[in-house]
Amino acid sequence: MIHSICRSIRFWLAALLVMGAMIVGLRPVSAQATEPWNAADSVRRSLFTAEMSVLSGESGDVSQVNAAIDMYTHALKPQISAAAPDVAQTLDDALNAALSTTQKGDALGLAVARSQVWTGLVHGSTRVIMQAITSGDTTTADQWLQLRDFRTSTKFSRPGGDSLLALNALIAGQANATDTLATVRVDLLDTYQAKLNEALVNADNAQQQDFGQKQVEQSALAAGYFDLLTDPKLSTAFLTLRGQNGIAASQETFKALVTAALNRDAANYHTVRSQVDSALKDFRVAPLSDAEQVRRAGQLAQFVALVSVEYGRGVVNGKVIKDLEIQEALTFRDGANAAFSDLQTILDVRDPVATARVATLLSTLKTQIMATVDPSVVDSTVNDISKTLTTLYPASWQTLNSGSDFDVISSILDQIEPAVKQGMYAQAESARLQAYAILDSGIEQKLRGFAPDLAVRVESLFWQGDGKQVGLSVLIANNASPAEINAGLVALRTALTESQTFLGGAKTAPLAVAGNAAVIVFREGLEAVLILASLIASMRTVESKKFRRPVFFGAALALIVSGITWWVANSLLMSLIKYGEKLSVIVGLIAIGVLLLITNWFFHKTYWVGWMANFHKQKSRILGGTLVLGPSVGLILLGFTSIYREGFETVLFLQSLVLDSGITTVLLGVIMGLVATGIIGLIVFGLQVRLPAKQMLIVTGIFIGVVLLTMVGNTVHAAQSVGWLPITPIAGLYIPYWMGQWFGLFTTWQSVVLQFIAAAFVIGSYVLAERMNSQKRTQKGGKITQDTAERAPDTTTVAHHLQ
Amino acid sequence: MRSIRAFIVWCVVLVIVGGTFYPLRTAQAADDVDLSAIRLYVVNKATDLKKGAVALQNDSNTFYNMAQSVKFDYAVLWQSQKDNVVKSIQAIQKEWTTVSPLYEQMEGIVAGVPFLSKYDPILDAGAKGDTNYNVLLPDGRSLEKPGNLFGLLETSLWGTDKDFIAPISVDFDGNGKQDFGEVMPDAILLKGFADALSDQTGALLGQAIVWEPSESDVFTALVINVPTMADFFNSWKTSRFVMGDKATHNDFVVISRLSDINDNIGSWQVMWKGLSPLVEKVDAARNGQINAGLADLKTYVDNLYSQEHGGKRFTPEQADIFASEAQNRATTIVGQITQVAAELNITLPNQNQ
Repeated sequence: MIHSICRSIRFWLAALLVMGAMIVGLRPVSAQATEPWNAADSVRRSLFTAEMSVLSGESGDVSQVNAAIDMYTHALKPQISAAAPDVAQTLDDALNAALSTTQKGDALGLAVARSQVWTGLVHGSTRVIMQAITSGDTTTADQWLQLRDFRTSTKFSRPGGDSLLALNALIAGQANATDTLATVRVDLLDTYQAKLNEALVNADNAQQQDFGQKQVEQSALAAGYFDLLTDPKLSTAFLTLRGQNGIAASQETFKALVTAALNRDAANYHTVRSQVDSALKDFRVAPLSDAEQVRRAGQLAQFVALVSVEYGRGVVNGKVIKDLEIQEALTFRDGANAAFSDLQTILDVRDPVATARVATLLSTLKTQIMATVDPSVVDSTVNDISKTLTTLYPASWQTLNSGSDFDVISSILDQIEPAVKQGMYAQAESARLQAYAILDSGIEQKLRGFAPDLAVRVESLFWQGDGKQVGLSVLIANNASPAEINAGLVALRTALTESQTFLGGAKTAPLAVAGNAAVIVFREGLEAVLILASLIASMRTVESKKFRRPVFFGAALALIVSGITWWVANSLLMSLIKYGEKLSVIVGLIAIGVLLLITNWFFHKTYWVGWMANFHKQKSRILGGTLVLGPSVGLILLGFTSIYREGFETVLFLQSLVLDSGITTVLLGVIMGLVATGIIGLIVFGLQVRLPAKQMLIVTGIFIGVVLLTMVGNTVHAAQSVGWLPITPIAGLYIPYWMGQWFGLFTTWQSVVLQFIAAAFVIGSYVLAERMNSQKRTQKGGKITQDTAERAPDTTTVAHHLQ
Repeated sequence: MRSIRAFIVWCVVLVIVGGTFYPLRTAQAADDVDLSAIRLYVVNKATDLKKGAVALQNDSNTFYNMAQSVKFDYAVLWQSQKDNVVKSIQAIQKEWTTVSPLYEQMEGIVAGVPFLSKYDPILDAGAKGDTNYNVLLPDGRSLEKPGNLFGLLETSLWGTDKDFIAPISVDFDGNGKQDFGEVMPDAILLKGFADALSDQTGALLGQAIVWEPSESDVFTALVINVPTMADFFNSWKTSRFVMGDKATHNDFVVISRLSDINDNIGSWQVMWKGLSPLVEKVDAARNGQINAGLADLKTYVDNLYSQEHGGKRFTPEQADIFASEAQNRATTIVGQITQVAAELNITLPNQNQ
């Protein structure tokens, strides 16, 4: 009775744990009454109202400043003080300054304080976010990530969701804290550098318009953003560039800028402003990644070339015949200039003279377009820029880059709709052809290899249509309405986005990855179960049963150490994640190598004959007392080594899948594999049932073969994506898109041939092994017949049967 | 049995704990969301707009018939039918001030949705030479790409474009001087513009009725329109409401751009309200932030407009500071919208480059 009650209690405790886990799984939607962004907005609004009251000549609205101080003190200060006490001190000082300037009716002083408060708040928020991510407090990081600035949207740039998506990935267990921290840091600091530049431009414009209040406000904003960007807790980029003294001197320069603005001293403002430019020269707080550098380089080269094309269409004999073309020429020039600005620091290091020349030529190009010079002059400048870039770019920037190609196609497609709205169908057609030419020159070849379905769809949408949607060529030829053209463009853009996503790192279908992980875990788990079963088979007597426990203990220890190995391997992998697809290729190659090796061992029975004989020999030595170690320690070691090898192999295989689809999907597969292994273990050890071990090993072996071919296909695809292998599409062969996602089958000669070689290796290894066994059998008199070999073996004596 | 039951329970624990790590907010296919309220809003506004345009057309016809009866001799017309002329022109002016805000209240949607956007330059945003339509005048002439219709009517009715008015001075209220807005428009041009307004608003209504809004449509409209806060404020800063006689624009002379901005923000709120249930499922915190941001922006502009409407005149520098503040708030809203779009896997034009 008592036993039954205890059992029930245990069951319900476990059930409660299940419910608890479910509750833990729910994310808190709102953990604080006043969210940080809300409090910061309130502070900002109150100070703005106070400044407007002072500006309007009324007595300063001190109550607004007090409200701001109150809000800051209660809703923001505790966390900012904890994460960034120095910033909290700056905020205290700025808020006190806001109060005193309001009381004095000093509008300019209040403008400075207001800017300092805002930059202090985003500075503090950035530090809180970084600290929260580091300490694993994703709830706090998520809340404070809402308190931030964004880049101002322009035609060529719209803020993305990098930080938020990275944080979501961390929350979902698909990324580690280090990578999330890096992404968030780059996104936020890059934004604040853009805001710094924007504030300086605004301050200059205000100075020219004689808007003193705004000049002061923007100068102080620039100074605040500069403090944020040079905070060594956030970035050491400026420290590395100018040293500690450089930081101090530059901060003084920014203070001098604010003072010059406060004093309405135009001459001094210009002098200090030049010093600010010198301080900021070559400073880029968040260096572009290698991939982004290549992308910007592609944009720069292609946008510059397009300036010449557009301008040539818009101007004839010094007269503008098409306004829109000139506007587009200017747009492409601005796009090229933006890309160049991002690369300037890097190019400066390579060749400062050539870099300065490109800067001058880009500026000249704008002047030439504005002055409506002859197209041949613009052509000459464009050619000059292109030649200089060819000598300036490193080789890796000059190879085909599909990322920038997609950007340029998108920019050219942007021209179609406005042209159609103005009835300029010929111009729309010209833009269509231009976009298609860029697609045809590079991306399409890749697509034909990796995703022929998508290649056909994109091509169709450019021309005749795909059955559901009329193609752009037909729509433009028929002078279709803007709405119809827009529908065609939307369909084309959707297909292009899919293509970009696919080429940017086609992912295997998550279910396929989970299935592959489950197969690997089950297969290795099955081996582990059979080894254990074999080792304890002879421990059936009451006397020898006591030896089972240390073997099981060793096996359990091996499972724990396998988990630790997983953690170490995964951490190592995540530390190298910045190498992206290249890492995938290397890890994929290692996994394929090991898979080939163990399938070869399996066929040649090295595994079962060699290893098992070794285990049994060790067991005999331990039990026979010939080993130096005591029997218990020896048996623990035996259990450990026999299982850990399987765990180690599993960890190694799974890393390649983690890189492909993330840890969550793989863990799902691991759980499935463990459950299946657990069931087998229960049947073998708990119920003492004999299973057809050899057949099970053969079937799982075939599954492993399929996993191997998938891995080969995906690794070849990754190698082609990073340019380590060429891409040669197979003309006439059609493999559906989904087969690439599920089985790594792609229509390129490289992937098909290498998969064939891998299959040939496995099958050849099997044939060779069979032939060798047959010869041995013949030599031994052929005692073991094929029938015997295929008979369902007793799992407890599986090793001997397999011999 | 005991061990099997324990085993099953532990498996469930493992699956659920694993599930908690599964993406709760990562990209997921957007569920079907009901955006019909946005279409209904546009259709209702377009219906009112069309009704207003027809009323304006009718009164313009009345004025045209009066002018035609004296063979377009405006001096004779003024002398012979002064009261009727004043009544007619003031009625048309009043209708314009009713109809123009109706469009502003839907402009945020019309201008940003590709399916409808061709009407924005025609009705309200296009400059001369940039509008893909012609105005056919009652005398058979055709004005090619004449600019936007509300602007053409405004400059005709208040006389800020001298080419659009009769070349005589008129004094509506008899105070001895020609006050602002006391002008006699060129009746032929006025009728042409009024007819075109009626036609184009009718076409917009027809298009709005068959419009099927999509999530991508609405997100795109928002990220295209909200950043135009700076453009709106720039046209306010340089209008006669701030610059007085130094104004560089001859349009935006009757209704302050602050009122237009307010109406536009209203249409952004309608759009966000449509998307809100979808976003709430994915990121409730940011949904709340965007809702609050739009409401705050509307209150901010509303407050400025109330002050201006109450007689306060802002200096150009004050206007510039207000513009910066509005732009900052709008930039934050756009930033949050693009974040949410990224979470929903909705691609926006030129994102993240």
